[in-house]
Amino acid sequence: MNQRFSIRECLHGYSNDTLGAICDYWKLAATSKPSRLKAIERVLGDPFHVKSVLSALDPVSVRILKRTVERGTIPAADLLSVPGLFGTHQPNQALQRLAQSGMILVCPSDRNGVFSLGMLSRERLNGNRGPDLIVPGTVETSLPEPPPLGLGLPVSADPPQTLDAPGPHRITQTMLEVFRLVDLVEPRITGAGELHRNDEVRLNELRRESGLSRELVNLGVMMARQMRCVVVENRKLVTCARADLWTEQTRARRMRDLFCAYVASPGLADLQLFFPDMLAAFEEHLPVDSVRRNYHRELAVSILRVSPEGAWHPVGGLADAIEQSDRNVLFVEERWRSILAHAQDSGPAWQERAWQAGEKRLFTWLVQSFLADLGMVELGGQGQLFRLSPIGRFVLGVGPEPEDAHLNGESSLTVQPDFEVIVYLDRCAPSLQRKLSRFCDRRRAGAASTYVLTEQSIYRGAGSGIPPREALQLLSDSSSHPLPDNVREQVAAWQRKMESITLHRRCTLVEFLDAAKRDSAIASYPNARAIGDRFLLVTADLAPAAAPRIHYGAPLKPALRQEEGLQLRLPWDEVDLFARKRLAEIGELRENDSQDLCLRLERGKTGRPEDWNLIAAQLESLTAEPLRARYRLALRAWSGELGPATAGPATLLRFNDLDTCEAVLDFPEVAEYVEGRVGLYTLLISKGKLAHVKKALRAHGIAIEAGAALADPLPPEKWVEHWAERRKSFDDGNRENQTVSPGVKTVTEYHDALPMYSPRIVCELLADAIARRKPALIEYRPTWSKQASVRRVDPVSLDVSAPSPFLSAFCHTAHSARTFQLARIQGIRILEDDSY
Amino acid sequence: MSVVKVHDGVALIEVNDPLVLTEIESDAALQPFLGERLSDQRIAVQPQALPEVLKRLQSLGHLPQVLE
Repeated sequence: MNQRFSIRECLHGYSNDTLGAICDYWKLAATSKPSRLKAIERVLGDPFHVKSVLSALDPVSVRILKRTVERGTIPAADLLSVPGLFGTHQPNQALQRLAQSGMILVCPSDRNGVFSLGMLSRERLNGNRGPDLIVPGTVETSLPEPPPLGLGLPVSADPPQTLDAPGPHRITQTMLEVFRLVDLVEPRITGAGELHRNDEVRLNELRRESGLSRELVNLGVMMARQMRCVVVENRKLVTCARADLWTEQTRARRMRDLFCAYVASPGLADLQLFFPDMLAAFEEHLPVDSVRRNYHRELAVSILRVSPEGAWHPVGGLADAIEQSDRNVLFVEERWRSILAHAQDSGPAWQERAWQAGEKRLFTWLVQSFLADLGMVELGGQGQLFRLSPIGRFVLGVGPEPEDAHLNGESSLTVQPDFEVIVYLDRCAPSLQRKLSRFCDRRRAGAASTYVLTEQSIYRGAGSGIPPREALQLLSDSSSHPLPDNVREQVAAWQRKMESITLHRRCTLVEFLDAAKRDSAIASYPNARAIGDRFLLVTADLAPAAAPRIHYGAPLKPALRQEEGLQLRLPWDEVDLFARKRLAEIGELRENDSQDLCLRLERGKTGRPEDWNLIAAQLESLTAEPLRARYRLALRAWSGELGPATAGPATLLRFNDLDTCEAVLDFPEVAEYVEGRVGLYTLLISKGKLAHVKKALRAHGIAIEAGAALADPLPPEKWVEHWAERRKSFDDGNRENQTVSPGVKTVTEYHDALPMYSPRIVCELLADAIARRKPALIEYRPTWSKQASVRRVDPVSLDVSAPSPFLSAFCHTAHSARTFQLARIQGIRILEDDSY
Repeated sequence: MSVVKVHDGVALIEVNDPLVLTEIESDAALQPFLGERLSDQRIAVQPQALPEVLKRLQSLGHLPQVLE
C-alpha cells in the first residue's frame, strides 16, 4: 500500500461533485464537502464495507486494482495504455467505476485544480500523464487474486508424433560467456551511461572469438543487469557474487530468474532485433518505469500462463492471441509508427503488413528461439508447434519445480602436464564452468573446451576469491585422472610467490611513545600483533577510544604549528605515518623531549633556493593556520629573488569610513589620480594631482582638510578580515542567491512528498486548520529563492482579498511570525494529531 | 600529553623477505605513496594509492595478495 497520502488527503483534491458521486455510490446522505469527506473516509476505512464492494467487482476491475497495488503509484495514462493486461479494450470505464467507488484514489500530486471523474477518460488524457492513482490500504489487504485472462492460445488439432530434438542449452552458455567477457574487460561506463568506446571494441573482439552475435550478448547483458549479476561499480561493469549464485541453482530456477529478468528488464534488446530503425522512437514512447515499457512481454506471459498442460499450439498462435488482445501493443495503430516507416497510407492494410513484418516475427522468435533456448517450450512438427515444458510451467508459476538432471562435476575435465585443462561441457555443471573461467584462461570454446593454467590466471582467480589451493582442489575433484605432479608443484610455487607480499587494505595501528610502554600494554590487547618497536596491529574495535586518532580514510588534516623565528613543530599526537617523510623533504628535522617533530628553516639546508615558492606551497599545505609571511620572506630572500625596497614622499588621502573610500573610487575623475590604496580608508594620490582631486571631491560635497592622523584605525592584520566581512554582508543583501537558512529542511530531505493541491484547495485546508487550531507542514518556495523548503507553521489568518492571497502564520523554523503567499505553497499536510 | 595514539584505516605492505621491502622502498614510482617503515618487514602506504601500488608491484613481477 502506498502510505504517502492518507485517504483524507487524497479526497481533499476532489471536486464537490465527484465527492457527491462517491456518496451516491455508497448511498451516503451528506451534502456539504466536509461532511462528504468525513463520510467517505469512514466507509473506505472500514474493511467490511470494502470487502462487500470487492466481492462484487468484475475481473477487469480486480486486475486494474492488482496492477495498481503492484506498482504502488501509477499514472492513469500508463494504466489505460495496457488494456490487454486487463482483458478489455475499454479499461477506462472500469477505472472510472473504481474511482467512483473509491477503490482507487487520485493522489494529490499536482496543482492543476480539483479532480473530477471525467479526467480519467482516455480522450481527456490525450497523451498526458494524467493523475497518479493509488489503492487505499483497506482495499489492498482485502483484494482477491484476479482470475486469469479469458484469452487463450489456439490449440492444434493435430499434435506431432515426435518432439523436435532439443537444441543445446545455449542460453546458460551465453550467460556464462557474458560473465566471462565482463570479468575480462570490466567495461567502463561513460557519463551518458554507455560503454566506453575502447572497451566496447574489446568486448566485440572477444564476442566474435566466442562466436556470439552482438544481439545475443546485448540480450544477455540486459538480463544479467536485471538479475543484478552484473552491476555498475566505480563506473565499471563488473560481475558480482549473484552471478556465482545463479550458476549454482538448478536449471529450472536459473531459467526462471532469466525469464523474470527478461520480462521485467527496462532494456529493449528484443525490440532492437526486429525494429532496429524504430528503437529511438520506442525509447521515447515507452518511458522507463512505466507498465507500457514491458507490456508486450507481460501480455505474452499472461497468454502463455493459461495454456493447458500438454496442449500443443501453433508457433504463430501467440502472436495471433496478442493481436486479438491488443493489436496496438507496439503502436502499430499509431500514426507516428507509419510515418517512421515511410508508409504512404496507415490504413488497416499497412497495419496488417507491419504486424506481419514486425510483431509477428518478434513473438514467433520469442517462442521458437528464446523460450526454446530457455527450455520453457518443447517444439514439434519441425518447429511449427509448441507446448509448455515442465520447466516452462514452473517458470510461469503454474506448475511444480521439475527435478534437475544433477551434474556432480566428476570426470568433467582432464588436466594435462602442459597445464592445459580440457573440459567436457556435457558433464560440466555451470557453476564449475564459472569457477574455471575465473582461474583459467580459455583457449578454445566448444563441446570440449580447452583452458590453460598460468601464473596470471591463478593470480586473477585468487583476487576473485578462489585461492590457488582451492583451485587445485576443484581441479582434482572434477578431474578424471590425478593431477600431474608438475602442475601441483607449480601452482604451489605460485601460491608461495603470492604470499611473499601482502597488502593490508585498512589496518588499525596503536602507536606508543616507546618500546617499553608498548611491551607493558600488549597484554591488554588480545590478538594484537607487535610491529617494530612501538606499534601494535589491532582490530578496529579494540583501539582505545580516548586516545588521539588519525584517520587515513579522508585527507589528513594540516597540523604543523608555527613557532617563534623560522621554526615549525608537529605535536606527537598528530604525527601521522607520512609526516616525517614529507617534512624531511623541506628541511632538517629533529625530535624534542616530547617526541614532537621540529622543523627549522635554515639557509643552505632547505631544499634548492630557486624552488622557494614550491617549498612555501608545501609548508602552506601542512600548516594548521595560514603560513606567516616571515617564512615565505626568508625562503625568497635566500633565493636571491627579493629586490630592494624603495622610499619616497607621497600624498595620502584618508576618509573617515570604508564606504566613502569605496564610493570615491567609483568617481572616474578621482580614480584617474589614485595610484593605490593604503589600508581600508586611505588612498595614495599621484604626485602633484591633489588639487585636481580636491576639486573633484568638492563637486561631490566632500571637503579635504590637512591632518596628521593618516593611518587606519585597524592594525594591518585586520584589514583583510574586515574587508571580507563587509563583502559578506553585501553578498547577503543579494537575496536571490541566498540559500535556505540552517535548520530548514529542504524538500529532498523529506522522504515523503507533501500532498499538492491547487491554491483554492490550499486556502480551504488552511481556513479549516485555522478554525480547528491545527498546525501544518508546508512546502514553501520563497520569492527570493529557487529552492523550496519544508517548514512547520501554526496558521493564524488568511488574507484572500490581497492582490496575492497570503497566509499569516507562526513559523517554527524562523521562530517568528511570517507571511506566506498561497501561490508559492507547493505542498501541504495538516497535522491532525497536533494542535496549538 | 597522551602516551598512545591510533592510526585508523592506514594501509600496509607486509613482506616475507626484508630485502623485498628495501627493493620496494627504492622504487621511484612507489616512493610517493610510501610512509614510515614500521619494521624490517612492514611499511605504511597511503590507502587511497593502493590501486597504483598494486599495479606497480605487479609490473615489477610480484603477485601481491590484498587482504581487507
